[in-house]
Formats: sequence, structure tokens, C-alpha cells
Amino acid sequence: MKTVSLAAIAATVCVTGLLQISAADTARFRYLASVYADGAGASLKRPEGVACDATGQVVVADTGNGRLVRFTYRNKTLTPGAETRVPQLTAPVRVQINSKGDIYALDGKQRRIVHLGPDGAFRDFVTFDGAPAPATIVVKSFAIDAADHLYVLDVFSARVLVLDASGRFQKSLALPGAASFITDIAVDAGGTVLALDSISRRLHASAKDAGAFSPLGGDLGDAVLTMPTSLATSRGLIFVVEGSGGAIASLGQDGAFVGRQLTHGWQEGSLNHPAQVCVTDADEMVVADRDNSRVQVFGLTR
Amino acid sequence: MASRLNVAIVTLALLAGGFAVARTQQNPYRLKQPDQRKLCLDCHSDFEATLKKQYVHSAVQAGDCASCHSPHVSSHGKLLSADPSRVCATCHEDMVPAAARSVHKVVADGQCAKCHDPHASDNPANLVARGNDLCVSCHKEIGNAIATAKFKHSPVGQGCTSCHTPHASEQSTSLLKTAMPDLCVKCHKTDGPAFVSRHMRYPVAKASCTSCHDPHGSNQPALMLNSVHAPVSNSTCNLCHNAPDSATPFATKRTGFELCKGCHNEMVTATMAKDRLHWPVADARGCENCHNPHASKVDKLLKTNTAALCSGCHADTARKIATTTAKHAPVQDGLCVSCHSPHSSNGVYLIDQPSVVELCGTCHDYGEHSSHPIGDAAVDPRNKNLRVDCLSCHNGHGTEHKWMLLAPTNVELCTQCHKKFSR
Repeated sequence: MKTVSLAAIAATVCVTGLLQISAADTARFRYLASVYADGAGASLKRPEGVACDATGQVVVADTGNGRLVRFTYRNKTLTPGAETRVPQLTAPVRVQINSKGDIYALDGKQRRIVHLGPDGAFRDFVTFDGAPAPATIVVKSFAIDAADHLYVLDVFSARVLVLDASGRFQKSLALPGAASFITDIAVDAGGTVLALDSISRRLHASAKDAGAFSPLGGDLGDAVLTMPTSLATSRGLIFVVEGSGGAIASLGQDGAFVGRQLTHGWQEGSLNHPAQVCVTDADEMVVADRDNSRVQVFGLTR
Repeated sequence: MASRLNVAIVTLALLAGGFAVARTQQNPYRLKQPDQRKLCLDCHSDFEATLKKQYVHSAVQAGDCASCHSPHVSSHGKLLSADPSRVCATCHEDMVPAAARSVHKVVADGQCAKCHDPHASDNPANLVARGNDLCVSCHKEIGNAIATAKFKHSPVGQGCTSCHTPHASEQSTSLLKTAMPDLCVKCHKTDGPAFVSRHMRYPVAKASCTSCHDPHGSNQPALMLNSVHAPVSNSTCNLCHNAPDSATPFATKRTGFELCKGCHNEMVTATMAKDRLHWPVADARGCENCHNPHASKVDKLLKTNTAALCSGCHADTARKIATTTAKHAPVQDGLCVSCHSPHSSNGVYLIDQPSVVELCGTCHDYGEHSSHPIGDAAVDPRNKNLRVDCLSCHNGHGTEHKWMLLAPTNVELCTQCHKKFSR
């Protein structure tokens, strides 16, 4: 009888251990909300960018309307706020917020980054003074790290330009030579720069003080069934957004496949050509659901 | 006397035993007809004519039919003793070198019988056809080009194997016997004054000849590819490249689209001014992602036909299209550019019309098609931010449902919006 009890305890410990391992290796999305308009009721139109910060501020690049829309996210509610329109930013496609609340937005038409203050007022364009030749820089995407360094994906010269918080050039990272086409970059909390090759469906990483990219994980074919288009990181997880597939894949820091969730569709909770995503400090993922012309929020369970 | 008799009996017994062993060794399966060749031909008499051909497979010649066929039962067609793709390799196992840089697909697939007759043939190596006829029976497009080319490359007439090896090549891609340009310069002397002058003194002996020339023949003099970039035909290589006597003669004067902008300024400026850029246009390779800078077989200097070119990157879309049974006609014809603008556009999906409705309207008369409301005034009941357009019901590439509809039946399609009719 004692033997049976010991066996039962041992089995329980084993199962509990497995469950803990399993829980650490999962990332589940739970649909929370959809937002279709700004605070004045004006509809969103094909939004492609979204950024979150620690204060609960969410900024949406409302691409089809050529504007930014501010939201606040508190108590699981996304409250629409005012729009921000500046003549220097007519086609916002990607947006980030730094630790001071400054907003940076990539204009897809001009292919330059516009710097706005926390109040939405235009400050300046990001310049690349001191960056090595050539002078032509074509910005496809960008990211901001915890220290407000700016990482700019320059597809013209196949490199990532790193600027400090004041916009001064720091260094240049060559994109991996074997890559087919890098479409997005992200920076994790440890300063590792991630680059997404949409065509080869591979990730590359460059650790904080490394001078080059190296492959991270293997072929994303199991995780991403169609062309991956966007990248985000949050607390040890990497999120790869599948454009036409309407899904989001989760990977570990080592690039190992964790899961693939959400589907293509028009119903709330489904996605149609999602673009940029961001994750709040409370583990909610905000998705720019481009072809559904809305923003959706999902709770993230790890 | 008795002992002599015993010796004789033992000797006879040994002789009889030895004879029996010898007979068993000659006919271990106790076949009715010990000559296996005769045994098989007794029934397969139609093979008599085959065996009279000039070149007979050595196994067939030896009557060893069982080296390829199992006489009783088999899991494979024609009673083959192994999978058809593997049966030849049981003897011919070294046809592909371990370090091969290119392998003929039929060899890789084990489809030896596409080229070789496994029994006999009137052609050397048991080939099913002689010379180039064999190759062009599959490579029809090249065969037609060779036949109709105004200017011929003489080695082609001597046989494809002048330059190509039929099974695999350790030396090069495209099954070439030697990598280019070494293969070409074996015959073409690159230090002759005419050659040097014709190539504007650029050291092309180290370059890829096929970036300008078609080795199979051409309708252009000097075997130039049919579509030639003007600076090449005008011998103004230095418009794009450094001087021929510089340290880096093949380096271009600028990179990416900026090089092309030097001449194609209007087009590049218009491309960059639109709302949405096809991003490869602006990357490090720029225009060369899709166009050859020197010459091409395809119009507009495209690297290959549009469908193959686009699916090179958009493999996911190509895969999806391949599974559809109802394809949009331009998709079926590989004409992606019928709907998509390859450089840039003001609309999503790189469509070059203000809206999906207007794009479809360039070919389809909606009034004749349906009276269902579409366009800016038709709010999508599923989502107030969307408008009903052609893509609300159809997929622009195709689906597995008739008329490229998004659902298998009208009821399933219509009730997505008209929910009150849903059961």
C-alpha cells in the first residue's frame, strides 16, 4: 500500500513537472476587444502600425487615413483618443514609442522616420549624420530599445543603422549575406537585434555587442505557413506575424517554435493581413488588423 | 574379390553423387529449361526482335532476366525486383558523384528509362533516341529555339553532350562539363584583337558569357540574347561600369536603383513617388532582382517569365494558387502584372487602380454581372469599416469553388452578410 502511495506521489510530481515545462513553452491568445474608430467616431482605414508603452499609451498608424490615432489601454479597455495629423507624415506604416513618450513613425511613401513629441507635435526627421556611405538610405522598418536607441533597417545598403537616444550614429550592422529579403527588425529586452527574412522564412540575430548577424533557429516553415511580414518581442518570446495567413507564430528566444495561433477571417478574433503588433506590460497583444480596418486586442497567456 | 567390388561401388556412388551436385549447381532451381534466356523467351517470344537490336543490355544478353525481374511475385509493376526508381541503381550505383553540383532531374528521380531502353536499342548506351533528338524530346522549348534560331552555335549541332554531361556534373550547374567561362574559352580565344575590341576591352574572359549570349543559338548576331539592354548593344558598357582598365572594371558606378536612375530617371522617380513601393525595387540589388542588366530571352529584360519570377519570392501565393481549381484567367496565364504593378502603386496589393472595383472593371462589366450593391456606398454588414467589393465574394487569384467564390455554395457565401437567412 505504501509502495502504491509512493508511486502515485512520484507520478504526480512527474506530471506536475511536465505541466510546468509545458506552461513555460506555450503562448495562447485570448480575444479581448476590437476597435474600429477614434474618439470622435472617425473610422480606421487599413491601419498598418501599432505601438504600446509602459504607461498604457497605444498609438495606431491609421495608414489609409494618413494619420496617427492615440488610445489608452487600462483595465482591459482600449479607449480611443484623438488623432494626430502632421503634414510631414502622410503615410504612416510603422510606429514606435520611446521611454519618454516620444512617437517615431515611418512614412511609407517618403521612406523616412518622423519624430513627434508626446503631445503629437512634429519635432524633426531622423537623420543619419555620421553614417557611412552611401548617403541614400531606404528605411523599411525600425525598432527602439529600452535605452531609446534607434535601430533602422536600411534595405538599400542591406544594413541596420544604430543611433543613440539623441539620434547620433553609433554603428552599422550588415544584414546576413545569405538572406533573401529582410522585411522587419525588432530588439529584445537584452539588446539582441532580430531580423526577419520573409522570403527564406528565417530569423537572424545579433547579440547586443556582436558585430554581425547569425541564424536563429531553423526554417520557420513549421511555424509560418505563408510569408511572414512583421516581428515583435516581449519577455522572452518572439512573435512572427503572417501577413496573408492571418496568424501569429510564437517562438522562444532561441528561435524554437512555441505555437501558431489565430486565423484568417473577418470575424472579431480573426485577422486579415495583420501588420505590426505590440505587447503591453500587462501581456496584451495589440494587432493592426489592416484589411479588416481595425485594431484588435488579445490577452496573452504564457 | 569382395574388397574390389566394394571399391567399385564406392567409386560409382561418388561419381553419381558428384554428377548430381554438378547438375544441381548448373540448375539450382531445377528449372524445366535450364537456359534462363530460353525459358523466358518461350513465353515472351516478342522479345526475339528486341534482342536482334544492335545494343543489348548486358544482363539481357546474358539471359539474366532475373537480375531485374522477379519471376514469381513482386510489389512493383512488370514484376520488377525493386522499385522502378531504384532497380537500375542496384548495379549502376555510381551515376551521381557525391559532390555533384547539378544532377539531371530524371537521374535524381531514378527515371533511367526516360533515356535508356532497359532491354535493347539501336543507339549506343541503349538510348531510346539518337543525339539531340533524345534531349529535345523533353527539352522542347530549347529544341524549338535551336531549330528556329537564325544564328547557330556549332557545338549544338554536334550534340548537346559537347557542353553538357547527361547524368550529373561535379564541375558546374546546368550539367555543364566545365564551369563557365572556362567551358567557353576552350574554343573561343579571348586574347584576339577582334574579341577584345568587340568586348570594349573589358576582361570578359572572367565573366559569365551567358549574361549576354545564348549558347543554344539566337536570332541576334553574335548569339546575343533576344532582348538586349541598349548600353550593351551600343557598346557603351562604361555607362554603368568602371573603365575597362580600372582596378575593378566590372564594378558599377552606382548601386541599386540609383544606377538605373541615371537613364531611367522618369520611371524611377514615378515609382518612388507612389504610396506603396514593391520593396525589392529599393534594396541592394534593386532592379536586378527582376531584370537582367545585359540581355535576356524575355521581353523587358526580365530574368524569366512573370509567373516564375513572382513566385520566386511569393512562393506561398504560388502554392495556394496551385491548389485552386477555379483560377482567374490572368493567373492561369501567369500574368501577375495584369492586376499588380510590379514597381509601386497607390493601392494595397500593388494594384494600379484606385479601388478593387475599378481594377476588376477594367476587364469585367459589373452591370452585366450582378446587381448586388458594391463600391464606396455599400457598407459591409460584417464590418462597418469595410465596403463591399469584388473581393467580398471572390478571391482574385482563384479558389476551389466555382467562379472563384469564397464559399462552396451560395447559401454559405451570402449568409455571411445576410444572417437572417441563415439556418
